[in-house]
Amino acid sequence: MRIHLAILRSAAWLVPGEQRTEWFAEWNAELWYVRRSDERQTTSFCLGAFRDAIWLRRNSSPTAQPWLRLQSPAQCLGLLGMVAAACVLFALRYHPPDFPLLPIGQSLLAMLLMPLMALPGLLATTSLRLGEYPANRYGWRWVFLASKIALLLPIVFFRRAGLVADRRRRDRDLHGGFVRNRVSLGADRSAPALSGVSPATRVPHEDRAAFPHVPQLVRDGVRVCGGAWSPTCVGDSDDVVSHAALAAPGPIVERVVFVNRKCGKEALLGAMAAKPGLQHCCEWMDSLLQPAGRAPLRGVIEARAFSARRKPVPSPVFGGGPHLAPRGSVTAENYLTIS
Amino acid sequence: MPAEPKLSHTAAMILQSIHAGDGYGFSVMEMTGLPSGTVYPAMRRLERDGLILWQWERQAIADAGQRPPRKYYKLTRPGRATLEASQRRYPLLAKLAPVEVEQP
Repeated sequence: MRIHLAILRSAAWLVPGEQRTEWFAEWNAELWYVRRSDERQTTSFCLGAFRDAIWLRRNSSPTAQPWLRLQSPAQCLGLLGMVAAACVLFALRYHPPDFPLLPIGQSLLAMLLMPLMALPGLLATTSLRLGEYPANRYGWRWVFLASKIALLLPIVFFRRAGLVADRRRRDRDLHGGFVRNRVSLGADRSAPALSGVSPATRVPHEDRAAFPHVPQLVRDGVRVCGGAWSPTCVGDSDDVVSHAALAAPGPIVERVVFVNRKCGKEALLGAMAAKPGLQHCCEWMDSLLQPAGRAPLRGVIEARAFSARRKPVPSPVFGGGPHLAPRGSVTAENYLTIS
Repeated sequence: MPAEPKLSHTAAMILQSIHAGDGYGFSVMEMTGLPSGTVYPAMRRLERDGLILWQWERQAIADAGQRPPRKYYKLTRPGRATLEASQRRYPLLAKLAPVEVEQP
């Protein structure tokens, strides 16, 4: 019954607003009787509501749909122009600085695909038939058609650009945290314990101003996404304290790297292990993250963020062009991205 | 005298079933065997052309039967004239009768 009502409600969206309530009441009443028959027949009955709704939409009087009447080429081109302008402005305003806005250098297939994607939109933008074009002048209809294609191209392209840019923003998640403050740690060095370090125990470092979002990063953790990840850069291994120093009891003042347990430690360690010369980092971090049985630690935590980005899936059309390749480095900008 | 509108066979069947049957959409479907996606838009066309009109069942009657009120259609005067013309054009149309449903 629910699915049948859902079908009717979906179809109701096609019905002009002022007729929708009555239309739904009629179909709902009929459904009450039809549902006594078998499920298949009931579903078939409900699917017929779409044809009825489309008929009403197409045959409503002009006053029934005053909000959008594209009955002239000027109105159609005006609407397309507004949408195109909005898409261009949106793309210019929100695109990443390193994202190529124009499709220069992309494959020929991509260039051909865009007008192909635009063509289906032509049908939806006007109800004019080909013979109803301005002044019945044959040439104008092709001018109108070309104008529509010309306006649809930026709509399609700049929306695609926006979608790619959104995807790139999503790919900028971090795996690790960076902090350069003096802290006191107890035996529990699990991620919640690290996150709960009181700000009062911190001694701001002179570089702290470069990373204003680090405390928040430590408290709240870093977002982690699943899937295939690859490190694009790693921290400076010279900043890492030795395993022996960490194992020694009593306070130490050293530089310490930590990785938030919630941040996909396994994924990060696995990625680092593949890098020559970083295996000891893995071993050290693993020991640091032991939840119990460790002596209290006092030191300066300096963790370089281990930025990792999802491997881009090459598009069969646009290819893994330079705008999709993984890149970046551990900079303050990375932190600003996720704050 | 204006010419009588000529209906398609499907529209004539629907008009006949509204005239001979109970006058609601599902009964038209049962009598004609046509799917809902055909019957309801056709009834909208007939209504637009002034051949049928509709009326909601009174709420009290529906409440007494513990069911939602139905929308009943009936022929207008031009609709009856068109039906008569259609019956002359499609002689078998008059044989369209309500389906007998066995009561349990």
